[in-house]
This record gives sequence, C-alpha cells and structure tokens, in this order.
Amino acid sequence: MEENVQQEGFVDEAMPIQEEPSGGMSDDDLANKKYLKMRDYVFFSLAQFASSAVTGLVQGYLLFFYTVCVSIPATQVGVMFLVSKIFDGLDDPTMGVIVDKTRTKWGKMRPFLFFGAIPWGVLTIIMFMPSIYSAMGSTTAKVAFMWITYLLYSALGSIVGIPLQGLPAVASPNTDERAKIISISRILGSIGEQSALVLITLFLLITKNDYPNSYMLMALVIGVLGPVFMLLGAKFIKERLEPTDRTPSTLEGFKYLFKNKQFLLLICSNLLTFFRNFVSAMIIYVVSYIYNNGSLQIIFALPGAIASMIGMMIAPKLRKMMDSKKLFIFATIWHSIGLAIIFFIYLIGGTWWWLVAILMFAAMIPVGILNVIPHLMATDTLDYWEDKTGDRCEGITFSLMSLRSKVSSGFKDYVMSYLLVYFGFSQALPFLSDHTPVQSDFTKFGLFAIYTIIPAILNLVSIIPIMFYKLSGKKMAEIQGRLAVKRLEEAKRLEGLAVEGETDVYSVVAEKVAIDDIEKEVEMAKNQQEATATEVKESLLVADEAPAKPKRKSTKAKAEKAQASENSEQAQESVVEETPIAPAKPKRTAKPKTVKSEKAEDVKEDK
Amino acid sequence: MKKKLILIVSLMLTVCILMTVFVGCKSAEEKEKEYYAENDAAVAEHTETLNTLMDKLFATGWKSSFVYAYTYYSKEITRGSTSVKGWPDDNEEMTAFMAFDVEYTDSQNYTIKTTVFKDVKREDYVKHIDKKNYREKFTVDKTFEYKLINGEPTADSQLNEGFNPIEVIFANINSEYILANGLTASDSMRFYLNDSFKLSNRFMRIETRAVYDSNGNVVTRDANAAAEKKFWTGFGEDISYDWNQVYSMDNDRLTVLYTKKNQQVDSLEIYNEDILSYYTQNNDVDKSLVLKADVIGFAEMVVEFDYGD
Repeated sequence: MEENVQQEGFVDEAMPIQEEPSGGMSDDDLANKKYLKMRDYVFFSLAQFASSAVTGLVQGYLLFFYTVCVSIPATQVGVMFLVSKIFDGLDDPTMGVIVDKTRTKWGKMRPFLFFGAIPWGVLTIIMFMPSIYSAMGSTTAKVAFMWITYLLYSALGSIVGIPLQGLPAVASPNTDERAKIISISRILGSIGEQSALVLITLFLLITKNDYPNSYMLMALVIGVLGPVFMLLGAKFIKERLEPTDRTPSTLEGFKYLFKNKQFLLLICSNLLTFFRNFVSAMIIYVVSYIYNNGSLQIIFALPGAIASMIGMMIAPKLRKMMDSKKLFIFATIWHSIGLAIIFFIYLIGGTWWWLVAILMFAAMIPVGILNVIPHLMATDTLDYWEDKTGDRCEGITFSLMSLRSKVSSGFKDYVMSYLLVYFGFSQALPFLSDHTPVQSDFTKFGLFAIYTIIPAILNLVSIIPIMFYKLSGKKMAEIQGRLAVKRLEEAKRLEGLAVEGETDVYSVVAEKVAIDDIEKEVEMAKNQQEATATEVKESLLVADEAPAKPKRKSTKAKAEKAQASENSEQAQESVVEETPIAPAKPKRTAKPKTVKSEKAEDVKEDK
Repeated sequence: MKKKLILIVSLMLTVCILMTVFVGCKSAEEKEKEYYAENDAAVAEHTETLNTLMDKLFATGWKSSFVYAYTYYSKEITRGSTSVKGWPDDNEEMTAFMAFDVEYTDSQNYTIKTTVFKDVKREDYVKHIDKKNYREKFTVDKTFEYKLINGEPTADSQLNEGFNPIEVIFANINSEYILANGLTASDSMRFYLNDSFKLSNRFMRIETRAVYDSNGNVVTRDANAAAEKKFWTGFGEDISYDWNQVYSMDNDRLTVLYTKKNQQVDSLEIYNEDILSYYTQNNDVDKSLVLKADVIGFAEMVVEFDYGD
C-alpha cells in the first residue's frame, strides 16, 4: 500500500512512520518517509490556485483595464507599476523576516493567510470596478486612486504570498515531498492563472464585448472565491516543522543575496526574463486590435497555457538529460526562436489567427520549463550555500525569488506601457460611451512585435548571467553527494533521538539546532564547572530531595547547567536504549509542540 | 517588527498623498493655459518638419497601392429625443471601400486607377483586407482611371464621385491644413504630436478634434467668449462635453512615418471618426433613454510610398 501510494505521489492516510518503532528503520526508510496527507496536497494546491488566480488576473489584465477600460494614460500606468512593484519587491524580504519571527499557536505562516486573504480579495474587486473610476471624472483622481489601491494590493499580496510560498518548506521535512507538493501546486497554480482568461472570455460573450463590465464580473468571481480557497488552505494545511529560535534580521536577507554569488547570478538572470511575460500580456491587445475579436483571447492563451504546463511536466525529465544551466539556456533559445518564427511568418503574410495560435503552442512549451528550472536552481544555490557555510536560508531565498518576480513584473508593465506609447497606441476617448479606436498599421505592427520579436530578442539577455553560473553538472553532483552523506548521518542520529511510536523521526529535525546548542552548553558546563563539581553535586542532591527555588538566578542557572550535564550523559546512554531523555531546554530554545518535547518537559517536571 | 510594517505602510501612503497633492497643486486655469501653450509650441516645432516632408513628397515621383475605407452603420443613426431612440436596434457595421493604384510623377502629372468594391460587413472586410489577394475576396462594383498630364485631365479621365486621394493626402499632411483646422480656427481641437525615436525612421502623430453645435457650426475655444464654454469643461485628458449642446464631432488622426536622414515620408495613415450624440437606452435594467455619444462612422486610409530606389 505504501509503495503504491508513493508511486502515485500521494499519501492519503496517517503516516505509518508514526506507528513503527524507529529502531527498525533502514537508511532508505529514513530518507523516504512521507508526512503529507492527501488533504495537504489538495488544500495547498487550492490555496495556490486561488493565489495564482488573483495574481494572474492583476498581472495579466490590469494594464489593459487601466489603459483601455478607464482610459488612464499608459505612461502613468507604467510608472506606477514600476515604482510600486519595486516597493513591493523590497517589502517581500521584510515580510519574510516578519514571518520567520512570528510564533503563534497556528504556526508562523498560516495567521497571515487567515487575516490577509479577505482584504486582498476585496481590494482586487475594488481595483476592477469601472463605476468608481467613472465617478471620479478627472484623470488625476483616477491616477491617485490607482496608486493607492495598487500599493495596498501589493502590500497585502506580500502579506499573503510570502507565507503561502513558504508553507511547503514547513509542511514536511522530506525534500521529495516538498518538491512534489511544489510541483503539483505550481501546475494547479498555472491553471489558476488562466482562470481569469476563461472568465473574461465567458463574460465577454455574455456582455457582448463590454470590456469594463466583463472585467468587473471577472474580478468579483476571483475576488470572492480566491480568499475562500486561501482560507480553506490555511485551515487545513499543517505546519509540521517547528521554527527554530533563530530570527534573522531584516538586512540579513539582502546581505545573503550578495554573499551567495551563484544565487545573485540566478536572480540577475531571472530579473531579465520579464520580456518573456510580454507574450501573455499582449494577447488581449493582439486579439482586440489586430484580429478585432476579443473572444479569440482564449484561443490564443489556452494553447500557450497548456503548452506551458506540458513544459513544467517535462522539465524534470529534461533535467535528467542535461543540467539546469544547459536546460535554462536551451529553453530560452527555443522560446526565442519560436517567437521569431511567428513574427517572420506574420511579416510575409501568415496572419491567420489559427496559424499564430498553433505556432505559439510550440513556442510556449519552454516557458513551462523556464517556470520550473529557476526554482530548482534556487534550491541548488541553497545546497551550495549549505555545503559552503552550513547555513540553509530557505525563507530568505524564496522571499528574494518573490522579490525578483515582482520587480520583474514591474519592469514588464513599465516597458510594455512605454512600448505601447512608442508604437502610437491610441487610447479610447474617455468621454465616449464605448469607444474602440482603430489602431494604425504602424501600431498594429508594433503590437505584434511586442508580442513576438521584441521578447524573442530581449529574452536572450537573460542567458548572460547564467553563463557565469557554476552550479551545474559535476560540481553540483559533488555538493549534493557531500550533503547526502551529511543528511544521512543526521537522520541516523535523529532516529536515535526519536521516541518510539509516539512521534515521527523527522519532527526532531526541527529541534536539531536547539539540541546542538544544548550539547555545546553541556560541554561548556562540564568544563567550566569541573572545579566546583563536588559543590554542585551536593546542591543537586539537595534539590532532588527538596526542590526549593534558589533565591538567585545565577544559582539556578548553575544548577540547571549541572543538571543538564548529567542529563546529557544520561541522554546519550538513553539514545542507545529505548527512551531518549531530552536535555533541559536552554533559555533561547523555542517550545516545539512535538510529543518528544512534551516528554522532555515531563522529564523536567519530574526532576 | 510591527513598527517597521507600520512605517512601510505609512511611507507608501505618504508617497501617494504627496503625489496627489503635487499633481493638484496648480490651479485648473494655470494647467489649462500650460496645456495649450505646450500644444502651440508643439505645432510651431513640427510645422517646419511637416512642410519639408510634404514639399519633398510632392516633388518626388512615387507609386502606391492603397485602400480607402469608410465604415458606417446599416441603419441611419439620428440624435432622437427623450422619447425616441436615436440608435436603432440591430444596427450592423458595414464598410464601403475602394482601392487606388497611383503613379505619381509630380503635382501636374499622375495617374489614379480606382477600383470600387461592393459594400461588405465590417467583419468580412477585416478578415480579408490584409491579405495580398484581397481583391479576389470581394466583388468589384466599378473601375475608373484618372490621368493628369501637365495639369490637365485627359478626356476619358474619371474619379469615383470626384474622390481624389492625392488631394486627401496633400490636404491632411500640409501644415496649412493643421493650422487651419488644428488650433487657429477651432481651439477646442486637441493637437497631439509624438515624435519618437526609431532606428531607421520616425513616427509622428497628429490628432485634431472639431466640435459642432446644433446648427453644424464649429465651436471655437475663445477665452473672451464665455458663452461657448458651455459646450465643454476641462481640457486634455479630462475634457468632458455637454451633449445637450454638442451635436457632433470630428476626430482626426494622422500618423506619419518618415526617414529622418533624407526627410522622406515612408507612409502616412489617415483616420477620421464621425461622432454623434444621440438618445439611447441606459442599460438592460434601466430602460429610460439617456443622451450619450459614440462613433457612427469612420474613414481609414494607409498609404505606403514606393520611391523606386
């Protein structure tokens, strides 16, 4: 049963490891233990789906809504996107640190989802309400409203998004499971991103191409359902790894970016991939102004989305054939060539929409690969850093990846809005009821160029930083080999510390750092108090008989340290036996909720 | 950490408020004056360029094949009244169009071949017009040839209803036209120029708007004629019209692509919208008639010049 479940990639029942005595486990068992249940996969994917639906709606349609439906000048929109997304990107690492410092009974991630999801959804709806903009009248008021609502939306997006991205890292200590839940949720997320497309197509058909009201209806559906899914996700996902007591400073995240050169190269490269996002963002312009048929949007976007998902699915297989670096370069070139072919075919007269849609399918497969590979490369940089320094900075890494994504998105909207102006894109006259200006041939050419050849050429720039990226092939294999040995040793060691049948082995991983600290303190206590050993022993004997509270803190500390010293020796013996006795908790150690910790508390109380 | 969060949110809000205040700190009158002063400066700056371009275009021989199309509605649209809809239901968009093959030697010597097609639905027009063999996709109604030798048309020369595209091109791009119709005659018009950088050529966009009252007279923007202010409020992006006073409007757009090096026009695009104010149903729920305005027809013509070099 367990094997079948593993093959299918899901664990649907309670984890057998909790029922099996730890002593009988092999190295392979230790490495392959499953913690995630079906509901974790389902609800995390639902939350990811909802989050992606909201971000897909805003990133894919807000520029068009602002420029076409409510006639805000494109340059103003571009500046706002750039500034607010840089702002937004900067607050991501801050949010990462806030999350890392959070300690609540619900965990450190989930509270943000509970409290942030509904305001985020409400704001999403407000941003797409055309009646608010028309009530304002003046462009200045519209622009001010745009700034305020978008900045608030971005701030709330960070409050919800960062914890959501971090959830897999605390949902299971098993790296395979994490990879699996990330992979599944990303596929669901990419479907979520397209939900706006399906809805807009549907509403455009219902409202007979009434763009402003179609956008409002689309935002209403996503803005209501999105928070519901996120709240369900927050309710049912478990945070299994307890936080360590170490709380990084805000600046630490930025320092890490510059210390870990390989990660910096990856971030630089990924920042330059924003041109790729022109393709999906331009679809609405291409179908509306070149093909004069807004309902064609789904025909253009859906094959691309499916192709992208195929790309995500084949990415792991391709990665077995070539390392991440080569795969990144290969996929980027593939995408660029695909887009260039479409452009040149269009130039020589191949303007049929069905031809463009079919060719775009082939050109979009590598986008799926490029959606996955940077995240795998980010984990490589984590391994590299761990191998180099012993530290592993997941929270910071993924908040910086999120920063990269948002800054990149800001660049995309900024550059795109300027390109629209450059190519003479005519905006609707704001004083007419439903104005759709015919675009000039030069503008149409420009729109198609922004859709194809411009991203095709500029995409290639993202390869340059990757050329200097070293974590590939043999080097990465060596790093992972060393880490594998290290992790196996840790697993074996922690296996011994687990309480038989009462807790899972890997939950102890969360306390590893704390235990290491304890052992260090024990060692120090041993050395420092050797001279006063006799005195301490006497005091301990007194304490055992009548545990009166010492008057002074220092005396208590001494007594605890000495007790810890003894307990440590006891614990080390117990590891070999059946019941591990946790050493006394140092003051800095967080309070894990695991059974083991409770047991340790019991032991302490007994004493 | 909460303090930091509050600080970040406060900073963001402060930036928003400051920007709003900053934008709004000038008086409306000052901003309006500034807006039109900038327009005047743009006209002065670009008139010379346009003159040079036009002089060169009409002093050089060229060939071009292009289409002039006018899109209209199948049923007549009127202003209507508070009890009568001005916009009929099931009004279908149709396109009337003709193709021109022009061989231009100079202003006194040129040939124009006109092919008039039967009107088609707008969607059919859009579907085929960009194809190279578009002529095969539509039904030809009639053809004409017009030949001008030394300033005199030949005996059998004929134009479709007197429509001469050379005059249309000349009239639209000539700076006199802009000065006559752009700002001096009707200050309510908007003038918009965009002269942006491009590797090989440059792009210029000119937009004008003329407003008409119930008698069909152009309404001018005159600082001393306060009465005429009743037609609109605001300016630029924020202009809004009182449709009870404004009956119709022309919205013209001319786009010129030219090579800066030799000041040669590569293409020009003429686009003109006819706008009418009319009574229509408010929405599907509220069926009362309200006054709105929209485009009731538009003309488009894209001319690419082949200089044969």
